[in-house]
Amino acid sequence: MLIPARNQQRPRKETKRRRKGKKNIFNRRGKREGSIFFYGTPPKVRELYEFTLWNRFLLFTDHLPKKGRQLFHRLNSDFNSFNSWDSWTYSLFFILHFSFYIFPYFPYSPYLLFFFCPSYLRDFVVHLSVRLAFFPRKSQILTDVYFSARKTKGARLNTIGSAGNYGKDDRSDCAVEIIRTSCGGIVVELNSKVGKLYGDSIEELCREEMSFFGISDAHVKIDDSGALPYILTARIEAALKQIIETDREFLPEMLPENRYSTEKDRPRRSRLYLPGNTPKLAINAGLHSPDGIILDLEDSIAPAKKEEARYLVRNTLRALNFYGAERMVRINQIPQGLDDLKFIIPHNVNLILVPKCESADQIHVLEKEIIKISVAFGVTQPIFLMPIIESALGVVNATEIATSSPNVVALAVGLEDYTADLGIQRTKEGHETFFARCQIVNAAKATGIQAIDSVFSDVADMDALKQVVLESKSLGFDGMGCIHPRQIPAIHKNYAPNPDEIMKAKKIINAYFDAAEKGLGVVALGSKMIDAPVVKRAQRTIANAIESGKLSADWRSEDVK
Amino acid sequence: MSNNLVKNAAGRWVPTEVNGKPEIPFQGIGKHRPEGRKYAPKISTSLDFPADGNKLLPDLKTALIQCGLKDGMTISTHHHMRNGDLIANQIFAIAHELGVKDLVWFPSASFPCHEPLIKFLEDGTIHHIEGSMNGPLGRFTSQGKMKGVGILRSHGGRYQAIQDGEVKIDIAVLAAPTADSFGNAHGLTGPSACGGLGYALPDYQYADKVVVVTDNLVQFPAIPMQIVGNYVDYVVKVDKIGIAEQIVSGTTQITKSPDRLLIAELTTKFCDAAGLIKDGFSFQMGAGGTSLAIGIFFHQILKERGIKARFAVGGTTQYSVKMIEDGCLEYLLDAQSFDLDAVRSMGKNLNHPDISIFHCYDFHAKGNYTTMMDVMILGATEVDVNFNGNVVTHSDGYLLHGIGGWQNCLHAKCTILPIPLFRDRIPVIRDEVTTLCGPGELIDVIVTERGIAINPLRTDLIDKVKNSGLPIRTIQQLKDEAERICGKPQDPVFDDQIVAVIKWVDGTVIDAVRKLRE
Repeated sequence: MLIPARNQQRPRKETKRRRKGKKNIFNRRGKREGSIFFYGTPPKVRELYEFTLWNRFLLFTDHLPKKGRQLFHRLNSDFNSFNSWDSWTYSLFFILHFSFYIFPYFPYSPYLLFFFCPSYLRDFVVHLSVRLAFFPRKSQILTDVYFSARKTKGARLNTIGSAGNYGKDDRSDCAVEIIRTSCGGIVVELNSKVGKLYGDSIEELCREEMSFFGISDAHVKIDDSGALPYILTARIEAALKQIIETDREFLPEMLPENRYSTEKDRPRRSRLYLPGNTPKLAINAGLHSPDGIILDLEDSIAPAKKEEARYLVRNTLRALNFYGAERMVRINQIPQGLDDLKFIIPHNVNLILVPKCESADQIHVLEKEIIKISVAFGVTQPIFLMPIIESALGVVNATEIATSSPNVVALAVGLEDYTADLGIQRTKEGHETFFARCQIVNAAKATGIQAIDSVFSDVADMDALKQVVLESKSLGFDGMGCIHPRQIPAIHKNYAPNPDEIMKAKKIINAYFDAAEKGLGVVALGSKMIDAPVVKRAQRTIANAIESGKLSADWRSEDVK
Repeated sequence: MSNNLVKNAAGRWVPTEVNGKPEIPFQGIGKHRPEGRKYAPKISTSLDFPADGNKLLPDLKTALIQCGLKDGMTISTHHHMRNGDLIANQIFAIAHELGVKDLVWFPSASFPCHEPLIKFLEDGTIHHIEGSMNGPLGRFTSQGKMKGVGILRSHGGRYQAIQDGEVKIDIAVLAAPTADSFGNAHGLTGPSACGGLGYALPDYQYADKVVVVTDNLVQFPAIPMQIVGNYVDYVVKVDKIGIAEQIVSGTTQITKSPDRLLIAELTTKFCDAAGLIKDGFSFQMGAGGTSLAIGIFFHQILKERGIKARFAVGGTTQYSVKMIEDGCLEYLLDAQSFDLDAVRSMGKNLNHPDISIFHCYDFHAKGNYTTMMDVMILGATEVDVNFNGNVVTHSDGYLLHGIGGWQNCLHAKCTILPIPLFRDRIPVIRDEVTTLCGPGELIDVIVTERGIAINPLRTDLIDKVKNSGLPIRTIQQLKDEAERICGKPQDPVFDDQIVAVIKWVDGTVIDAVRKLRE
C-alpha cells in the first residue's frame, strides 16, 4: 500500500520535466514545506523511501540480529532518552550525516552508501529517512542530538534494563534484560537450565510481573540457571525499574515463619555473612543454625550492582526461611545506607548493621529515618542496631556510639578496615588490634550491650579459628562474624561456657530458686548478694551450655537427685 | 520392535519384546526364578593355541579380524579405564573401517570419553548399546537417534545376563594395564594401572573370543592373575590403553560444599541413633563427595569408640585405605579403585583383596554380599513419595547415568540415600519418578538437609530414632517443602517410541525410557 507523498500532487508529465527535483523547499510564504533531508531529491527517489511503511518495517526487526534489534529499539522507543553513545550509533549517524550533506548535490548517494552498509543498517537508514520525511519536527532531535553531541542531562531512564548474573558459577541466579517496545506485546525469550520443568511457570510469572507494572509491550530476555521464583522476580523488577519510574513493588509472599521478632540480648555468637547479590549462598544458610544471618549490601557487592541487590535482599527477607536465625542486614555507609532502609524495614528485618560507624550523629540520623519509615509502613516490631567500628575515630567514639540509642544492642568491630585505616598489616596474632578490641569490649560492657568480634577469613584453618575464638572469648567478646557455614560449629563450641562457668551459673540459679521457694526477697550466694542481671546472665550461661550440649536440659532434677 | 506393552508388577508399562528378543516384565521382588543351566562357551582345545604360549598379534585390527568380526556381533568391554578409556573408540573405528554393521556394544559402563561413538551410532556400525548411557550418549539416545533399543542393567545384572545366556558375547576386548603374552593380566602395575579388573570376570569366562589389550607387556607369568590367560584367545600390545589422569585421580576429595557436609553429618547421626554403627558392622559407600564425607565421619566415630568395622565393599579411595591402615576396618573388598592410594594399597595390604561383581552383586548365585551389608549409602537423581528411586534419568527426561551397582545394593539391610532436597531448583522428591530403577520396598531412609524420611515399612528404624532429636519427617512433608520453595514442576512430555529399557537384577524389565518430545 502506497502512502502518497506529501507534495506528490503534480502529474507525471511535470515530474519528467522537473527531473532535477524541487530545489527550493520553501514555498512562497517562506515556510519550509519539504523535508530538509529530501532537498534536491527527485520525487521518484523520494517515493522509494516513502514506500516503506512503518508497520511493514517493524516486521524487519524480527529478522535483525540482536545488535540491530537493540539499536532499533533504542533509537525508536523514545528519542528523548539517549543516554549513552556507542560505536554503532556513531557509525549510523556518520552514514546518515554523510548522505545528508551530499544528498542535494548527488541524490543517489544513499544508494551508494547502502551498497556498503550491512543489511540491518540499510533497513535502518531507510526507516530513519521515512521518519524524517513524515515527522520532520520530531526527527529533528536526531540531527540536533548528533550535531551538538549533546549528552542527556539529569537522571534519564535507559531503554534497556538489565539485572542479575548468568555464568558457570552463578547457580540459582538469572540474568534478565528488558527492552521496552512500542507494540507487539510481551515477548519472553527464555534460556533456562530448568526450562523443561519450569519454562511455562517462569514465563507466566514474568508476564504477571509485567502487567503488574503496567507494561504491555516489551522484549524480555532471561538466562536462567535454576533461580527460585523470588530471585527471578527480584531480577525482573530491578531491570524494569531501570527503564520505568514507578513506586509499585512486586513483593513475594512473606513466609509465616519469617514474622518473628528478636530480643535485645539474644545470643549472637555467630553471624553468617551472605553477599546480597549471590542468591545461591542464601538458600540453605539457615539450615546451618547460625545465631544471625547477615544479608550484605555493602562491601561484598560491586557498586554497579548495589541497586539490583536491594531488590534481591528485600525478596530474600520475605521469601526465604531463616529457620529462627536473627534477620540482619548490613546497609551501606551512612548517608548512602539511608536509601537501603525502605527496602528492608517493611519486611521484618530484626537488626541493621551500620558499617564504618564513627559518631553518634550517624546513628541519630539513621534512627530518624528508621522511625520515619516504620511509621509510614506500620512496623511495630523492634529494629535493633549494631554499629560496626572500622576506623580509628570509631574506636575513639566507641562509648558515644554505644550510648547513642537504646536500640543499639551490640557493638561490632571490623578489623580489616581498621588495620587499613591505621595503615598496618593484620596478623594472625593480632597484637596490633588489641587496643581496638579491648576498647570495643569495654565500651560495650560499660553500656550493657554485647561486643561482637570481627571475622576470621581463613576458612580452611579450623585450628587457628579455635584459637582465635578462645582468645576472643577471653577478651570479653560475645560472638564473632563468620563467612562460611563450616565455621559455625567451631564458633558455637568454643564460645560455649567452660565447666567452671557452668558450675558457677548452676550455683547462682540454684540459689535463686532456693530463695524463691523460701519466699526471700533477696538472693544470696554465700556472702554475696545476687541481683537480677546476675541471675539473668547465669540463666543465659546455662542456656548457652544446654544449647551447645554441655549440659542437659533437666540438669536441676539431676542435681537434686 | 513390537508395540506390545504390558503393565509389570511395579505398575509401569514395558514392552514384551526388545530388539527382536522376547523379554519378561518385572514380576515383583524375588518372584522371577529361572530354571535351567548356565550358559557356557564352546569347548576349546589347547593344541589350537600357540605352544610357546605367545598369543601376541601385531595390532587390534588383526585381532578383531582373526576373531571373525561380522555384522550383528556383540562386543564387550569393561570400564576399569573409566574416563580415560582409549580402546572402545578404537574397536568401533576399526569395525567401521572394515564395513561391519549392526554391532551391539556391551560395556560394563560408558563415560563421556565415549562421545566419539556417537558417529558410529549414527552411521549404523553400532546397532544399540547394552550397558549404561552417560552424558552425550544418553542425550543422543533420549533423542531417539539410536537404531535399536538401549538396555540398561546394573553391574550385577550384567553378570547375570552373561551367566544366564541372555547376552552372548562374541568378542570381549579387555584392556589390561599389565599382561603377559599368554593372556594373564592384572591392573596393579603399568602406566595405566587401575587396581582390580573385577568387571572383566564374566567377559573372559563366557565370551566366545577374548582379546587382551595392554600397553605393558611382561614376561610370563603376570601375577596376580586377575584375568586368567587360559580363557584368552589373543593378546595385543598398543602404545596406550588409557589416559592415566582420567583412570584414577591423584586424589579423591571430599565435598567442600557446606550443604553436602550437613547431609553427611545428618546421615552419620542417623546411623548412630539407629544403632547401626557397632562393632563388627559392615558398610558400603560410593565415591561421591557426600559419601566420602560420611566415610570420614564413620572413621572418626570408630576411632573415638575404639570399635572396628568388619568389612567394607565397593569402590575404594584413599579414605577407605586410611581406615584399613588405622585399624578401624578389618577388610576392604575392592571392586573398583578410584585413586592411586587404593591401587597402591591393593598391591601391598593383604586385607585389601580385589573381588569381582560375581562375589558382591550376582543375583543368580548362591548368595551375594549385598544382603549381608549393614549400612549402604547410595545416591539418586529422583525419589518419589512411595520411596521408589531413579538413577538413570534426570527430571527433564534425559538419560544421564548408568545404574552402576545401585540396584544390587538396594538389598542391603539398611539402604540410606543422602540426597539434597532440590538441585538447582529441580526437586528431587516427586509424586512419581520419571524412570523407575528401584522399587520403594527396598529403600529405607532418605536423608535431606531439611529432614529425614524413613520408609513406613521400617517400623524398627522409626522406633529407634523416635527420641533422638533428629529432624524426622514424612516423605510427603519433604516433597511439599521442596515444592513450596521451588514451585511445582511440570512433567516432561514423552513420545510413544521406547528408546531404552531398564532391567532389574533378575533380568526382568522394570521400566522403559521413552523418547523426549522436542
